[in-house]
Amino acid sequence: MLLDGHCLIILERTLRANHPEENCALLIGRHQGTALHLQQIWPCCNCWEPAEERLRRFCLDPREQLLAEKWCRARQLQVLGAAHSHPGSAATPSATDRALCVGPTLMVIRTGLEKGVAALRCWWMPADACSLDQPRELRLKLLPQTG
Amino acid sequence: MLPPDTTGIELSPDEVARFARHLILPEVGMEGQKRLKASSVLCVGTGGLGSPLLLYLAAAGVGRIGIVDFDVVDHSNLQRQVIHGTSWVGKPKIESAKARILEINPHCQVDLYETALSSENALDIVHPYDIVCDGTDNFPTRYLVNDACVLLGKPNVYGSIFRFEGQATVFNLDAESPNYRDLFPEPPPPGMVPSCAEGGVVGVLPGIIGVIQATEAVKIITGIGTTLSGRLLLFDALGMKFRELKLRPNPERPVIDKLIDYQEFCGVGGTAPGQEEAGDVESISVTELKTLLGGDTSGLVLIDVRNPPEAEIGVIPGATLIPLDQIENGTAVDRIRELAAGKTLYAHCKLGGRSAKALIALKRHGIEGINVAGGIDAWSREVDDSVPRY
Repeated sequence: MLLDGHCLIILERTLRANHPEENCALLIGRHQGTALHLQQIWPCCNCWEPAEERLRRFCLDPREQLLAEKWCRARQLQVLGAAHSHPGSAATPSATDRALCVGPTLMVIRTGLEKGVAALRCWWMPADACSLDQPRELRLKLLPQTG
Repeated sequence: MLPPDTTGIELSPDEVARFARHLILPEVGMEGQKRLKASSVLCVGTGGLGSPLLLYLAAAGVGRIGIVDFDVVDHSNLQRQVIHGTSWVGKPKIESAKARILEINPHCQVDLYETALSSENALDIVHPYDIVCDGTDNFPTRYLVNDACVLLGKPNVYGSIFRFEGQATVFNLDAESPNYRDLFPEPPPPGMVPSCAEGGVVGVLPGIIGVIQATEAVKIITGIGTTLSGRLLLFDALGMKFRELKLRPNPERPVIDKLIDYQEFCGVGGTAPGQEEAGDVESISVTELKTLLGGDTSGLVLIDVRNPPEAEIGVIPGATLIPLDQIENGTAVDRIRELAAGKTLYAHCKLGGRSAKALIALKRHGIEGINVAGGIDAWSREVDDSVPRY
């Protein structure tokens, strides 16, 4: 997964914004050959109900996702996937993460147990949550800043 | 009860021949076809979505189909409402639809409800049916259909279309399923989402979404496959892409325990399409405008806030085209201020709604104006019928 420094800063801050609740965002960009180029972060509210479970569960408002899809279409971009935080656990997709995502899709997780870039891990989630395919970890590559 | 009880249901030799291609599918077979015959589906709306829905439900062998619509067939419908034909223009859509359904499947019982679904009649109309298919085109009715289905425990096969985008899902498949209010807890502000009449729709789009709805209904009835319950299917016709979103029931959502006033809930005054915002803006009639344009026009300026493709269809003479989005984003405000300096500003659109929005936006910049009630549609009907209606 490719992204520049600005994008990384916004992603990190978004995923820490409402700690210790899980934070979330949509990831917008383009497929670039075999890589995913992350170009925009679309911060979202965690609307999981009941609210007291937001320390370990997250949910994106479908209206937010519809708006993002529409915004992307107008700009020839794509919603590549979503990011969320695991305030107190590792940055690996949980069973709930697998069950609730619609693959194939990009999933970025930020753990609260690490700092900096090491806190972020990127995963390509398989199409079928029930399949034997496991999430595949993607390398995160920082692009040089332009302009 | 779903799948329907097939006790006592038999297929005649004609039906066996008619549905042979279903019968030889292991997933459907004789039992699945009997379930279709034993089932009943209520289709709310017989327009763009309802047309392919009804055609394919009839073709599939659904035993009883109810149709709710109060509208008559219009020429502008025929671009996408493929169940109707030119010979039916001016006649009730439900009659047109019934005739076509019986042409496809004479074994189908077709119940007609030439009425608008309302809080007063919805529970009685919906109650006898196994499934409801929502082919409506307005938010108050969508919430009404949803709530009636929740109260009566009926699956609600939902579809929606706009321009080149469509959505489909199954709400309320069972007590644990999400419903429409889990997707849209509140309606959008009135006028925010244009109708197909104002925004347009590519004709093939409801054909695709309506058939998806019919597919889901068939799957629910026969008990095969995996339905869209818990998933919102998004279709982008321009990119020819399908995507899905997960839908979850919100455990904190207020319980639906009765039907309400949905016009009030959606903030709609029950006025004609495009007129919801016009009430807050000073307006004149098209006949008054005609009188003004027939006299000394040096003291007035008329702007047309429609989109350029609409202006290619027809114009009111003397109007200056300045699309609404240029007014709302501010880029045209200075130009309008200059045009309107020392003059009375009038604004029109197709039906009067967008021009009212334009004037509300201009008022925030200190520019006052008067709306042309009914827009160019009213102009065509009352002043100059050489201007095409669309």
